[in-house]
Amino acid sequence: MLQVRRLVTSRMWKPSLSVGAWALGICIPFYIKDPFFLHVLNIIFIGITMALSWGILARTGYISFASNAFLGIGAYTSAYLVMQLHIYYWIGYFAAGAMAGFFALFLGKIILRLKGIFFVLSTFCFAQIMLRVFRTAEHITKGADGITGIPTPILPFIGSLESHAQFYVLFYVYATFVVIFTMRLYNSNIGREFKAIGEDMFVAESMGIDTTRRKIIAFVISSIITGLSGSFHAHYTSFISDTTFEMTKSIEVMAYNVVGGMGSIIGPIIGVCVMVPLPEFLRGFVAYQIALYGLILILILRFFPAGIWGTIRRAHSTIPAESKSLRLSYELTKEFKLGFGNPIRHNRETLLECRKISRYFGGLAALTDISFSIRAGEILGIVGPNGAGKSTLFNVITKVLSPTRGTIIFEGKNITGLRPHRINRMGIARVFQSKVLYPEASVKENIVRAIVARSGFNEIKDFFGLERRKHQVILEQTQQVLELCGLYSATGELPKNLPHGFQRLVGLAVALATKPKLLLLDEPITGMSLEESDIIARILENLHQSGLTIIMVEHNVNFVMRICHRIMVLDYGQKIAEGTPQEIRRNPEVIKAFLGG
Amino acid sequence: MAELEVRNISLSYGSVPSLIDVSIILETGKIVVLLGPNGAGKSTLIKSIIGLARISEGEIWYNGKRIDRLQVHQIARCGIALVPEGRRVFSNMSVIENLYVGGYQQTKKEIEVKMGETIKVYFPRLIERKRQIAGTLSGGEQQMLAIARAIMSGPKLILLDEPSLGLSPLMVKEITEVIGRLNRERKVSIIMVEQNTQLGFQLANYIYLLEGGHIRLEGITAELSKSEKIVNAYIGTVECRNSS
Amino acid sequence: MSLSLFGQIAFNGIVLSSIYVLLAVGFNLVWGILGIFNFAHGHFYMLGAFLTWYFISSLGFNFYIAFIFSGVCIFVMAAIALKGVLGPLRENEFVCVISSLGLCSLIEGLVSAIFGGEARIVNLPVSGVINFGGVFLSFPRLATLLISLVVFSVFLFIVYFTNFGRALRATGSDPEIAQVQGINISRVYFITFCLGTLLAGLGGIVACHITPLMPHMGIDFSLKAFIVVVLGGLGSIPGAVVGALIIGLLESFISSLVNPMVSIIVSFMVVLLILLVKPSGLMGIERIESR
Repeated sequence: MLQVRRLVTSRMWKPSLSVGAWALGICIPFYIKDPFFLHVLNIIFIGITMALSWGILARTGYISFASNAFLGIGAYTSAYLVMQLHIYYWIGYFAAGAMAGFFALFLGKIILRLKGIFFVLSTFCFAQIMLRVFRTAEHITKGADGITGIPTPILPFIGSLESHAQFYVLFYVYATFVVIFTMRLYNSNIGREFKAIGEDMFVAESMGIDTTRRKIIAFVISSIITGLSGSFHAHYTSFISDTTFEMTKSIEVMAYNVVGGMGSIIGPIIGVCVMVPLPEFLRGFVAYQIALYGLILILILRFFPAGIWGTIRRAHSTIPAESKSLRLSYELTKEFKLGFGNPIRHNRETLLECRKISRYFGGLAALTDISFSIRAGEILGIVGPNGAGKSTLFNVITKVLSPTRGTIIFEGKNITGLRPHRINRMGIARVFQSKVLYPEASVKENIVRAIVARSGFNEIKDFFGLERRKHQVILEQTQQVLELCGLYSATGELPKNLPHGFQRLVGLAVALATKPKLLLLDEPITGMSLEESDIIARILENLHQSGLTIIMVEHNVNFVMRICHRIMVLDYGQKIAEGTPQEIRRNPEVIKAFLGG
Repeated sequence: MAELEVRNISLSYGSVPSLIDVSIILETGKIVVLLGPNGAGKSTLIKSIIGLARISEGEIWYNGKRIDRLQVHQIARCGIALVPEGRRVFSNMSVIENLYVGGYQQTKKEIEVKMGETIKVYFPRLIERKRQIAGTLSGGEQQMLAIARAIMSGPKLILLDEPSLGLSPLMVKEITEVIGRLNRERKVSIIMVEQNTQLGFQLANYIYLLEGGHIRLEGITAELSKSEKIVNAYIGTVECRNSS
Repeated sequence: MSLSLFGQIAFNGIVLSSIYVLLAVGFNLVWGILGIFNFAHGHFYMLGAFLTWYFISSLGFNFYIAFIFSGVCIFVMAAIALKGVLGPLRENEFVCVISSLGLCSLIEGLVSAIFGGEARIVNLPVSGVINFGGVFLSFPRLATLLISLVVFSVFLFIVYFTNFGRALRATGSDPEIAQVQGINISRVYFITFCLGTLLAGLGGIVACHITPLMPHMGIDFSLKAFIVVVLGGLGSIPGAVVGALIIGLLESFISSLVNPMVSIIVSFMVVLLILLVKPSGLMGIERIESR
């Protein structure tokens, strides 16, 4: 069975135990009748759903301060529809989620292109604006007076919910749904892509993940759940006003995650269980309640910055010592051809062409009018002394930077303005030195996932067992890549535990898994021994035989001379020579550029 | 004991080894040049002396005192100054302010003296432009400023990281002169990283050739300038691919 | 609108701006140089006012002594906040921010518990009004303006004309190379944080006769600071001044002519716009865009 598909991932619980515990949990109201106790638990369940939904977006690395806004949007939508328009509760409920989702879609398209703190702050602004809107849009929200007497949800056969116990059961089930949904999401391809985006957005983008769409999806899902929770909140507490949705709500949601431990599912749950009842415990201190709450938060973060669950996980995880046992003298047992490489194109058509590429930084010209092309099946090396612009040129080709002037043409199509994931889909792959998309997964997993993303694998069909043949193909291709890259002895290891040389190979393998026509390498042998460089050279030769076209930027001219068919030399941002290795070696201009003077 | 002794240091950036068992010696008042192709580890070596990079093995001794465990500003106060790669002047501050920051550890009197004696003498153009914002200076002028700034602290040793990078041949000539004069007239020891071999041979008393994180070659300038090895380190040996 | 009404609103706006300058410049220092987004910045503003009130009403100090004592207390408390809470978490930006939120609760709670939760007013020891061509310039407001200007001038002097100020700017410009010049950047960070927070505290002292401060308003002032800094540009002191002027005047005009609520909405929309169009603010340092 493909490792990619897992139903309920559990190293920690055994399935039967968890179902039993769950059943016990739902029976609690039969034994404990104290309404206040049940009330606190109800708040905890809603808190769990809020914390988890926030965590879905946080997984992509985007922190939102706007949970309170979406909670309010859901609450007001539901209350308005049910009370003013007399709509059946459950339609109002789903409408609440939908409304939150629409807001998120609209907002996300605008602000998700902001990075880091700027995104955070813009969600903050949005939340502040919505708070004022809640206060002033009186015909819907009744402003500061708020909406009172919100009716409780109506369940078929049971009628209108009345007691805390009934709400308990409803919220328990709801929280269960959200927990299971989140677990499934995190285990699906799209959920893993969220994590990859959070790890390193640019690497994810370069590996063909459409990060913009994914981020919007995460934001919308997160907001829908929050909106649904908002509806429940309103119809449970029967009163909402703008003060119900103050910024403290957002801050609490973040505190649940941070205190409990971000990035997991158990973490936020623990966070909620700790932080929600805390004010109750502190009630005895009357005047100092708020101060103590703050102090406890500070202390927890100071000594457990990874959160409670995060710290527990770290203490218990056995980090295997760097696998030094993997000898660096791996053997390529046979000269191997990559099976899914594109057929060798000896017809010499131009694959990539760069026309008059210039790049300025302010007034400084880093690149001036660089033009070159590479034909299918060639290996091209780009060399030059320090500061010549090699890295800049590489960054322009790989879309880290955009050229100030000039165009890039791939297979006849202009790709100058395209985003990295588009050009990856078109067949250009860049090798990252030691970054993989899924650092928590083994080498083999990383390659499998990359291939899966490229093979038109349909998750839904697979669920019904209709993609078995694809499984086989994918596994074969994974094998090919692993063997070609000399990784056979390291398949089960985590990339970060591997010795440096192996990590380079993993980077290469992952790039190959995206089935490129053109491979771009940035200093492939920096920091590697002569033996290791030798292995890389042989792998590249095999790739060439399999039909791949390769461009590499390298300092080590020796290596480039050995492998490349053609070499281009840069100096001071300009092309000063281009030709075969022999021609370059004898070129006095080149020697002068390198040795100076 | 020599002024500076780097003993068998090794350093890795993450899992990438950058320096492997490197040792160099600097005698007082001499100029040592580190040559080598890009990525050889020359800059890393300089950074580890000033403390901007932490070594994982080995020791660094300066004037009989072990400095590799100290903090950067403490190492600076031992009398070591750095002219970093890429100039790195404080671009939003004026020329004169950059110089004042250079003299941060000095008293007002000492700064006055430095300005009068050293800066005026070696860098007259800077004095002309003293109120100009450093970010608006040309590359060559910024390099001069970076060197002047380094002198302000009255160092006994100046580390220079690729001072000729990105400069016109004329500027390179000027810089070379200034460095030479500083060494001769002010008795300042110098360790210089250079990719430009000609410049290196011109100034050096002693040369180390680095490649791939190792010292490949070392010696007195006269012998070394004839060596084929140097060319090969940069541009490779004759074994080339035959065109396909 | 009559000229005198315009003048009145403008005057109030300028007084407001002078307070915001102190608030924002301090925030700029802390965020720009240390990289810490301190939500509790506004709480120190509020704390300054409460401490002064306490010194005056309970200990019988006169205003000037109370002013100085409060300043010293704020400086010390900032040092404790940095060493104990924010400093150790500087590496992890997000956890640090949440931690500063904890700090907000802590300060707010302590202030409420010790000093009581009612609004406190500290009256400046001047009174009276000048009539300047139809515009009524009250002495207390003039005093606020004056004190703010004096404090800001002292601050500017420190930053631009002292050795420490040069070390501060060098550290903000390039911390690595600043170290190489012999500057102990840990110490610079420490003093910078305390200085920036102190500015907020002093702002609170001179402001609270205009708007009575309550413990829970701390966050609102942090937001004000943030709005001004984003508008003016992170890392730019002139930017903070310009931003403060714009926001102060904008607030004064919209609050008087329309509705205080609207002015807040407008402020946030302005910020959102800036974040989308030119995140580095009006005068901030444009960083080279490379992903």
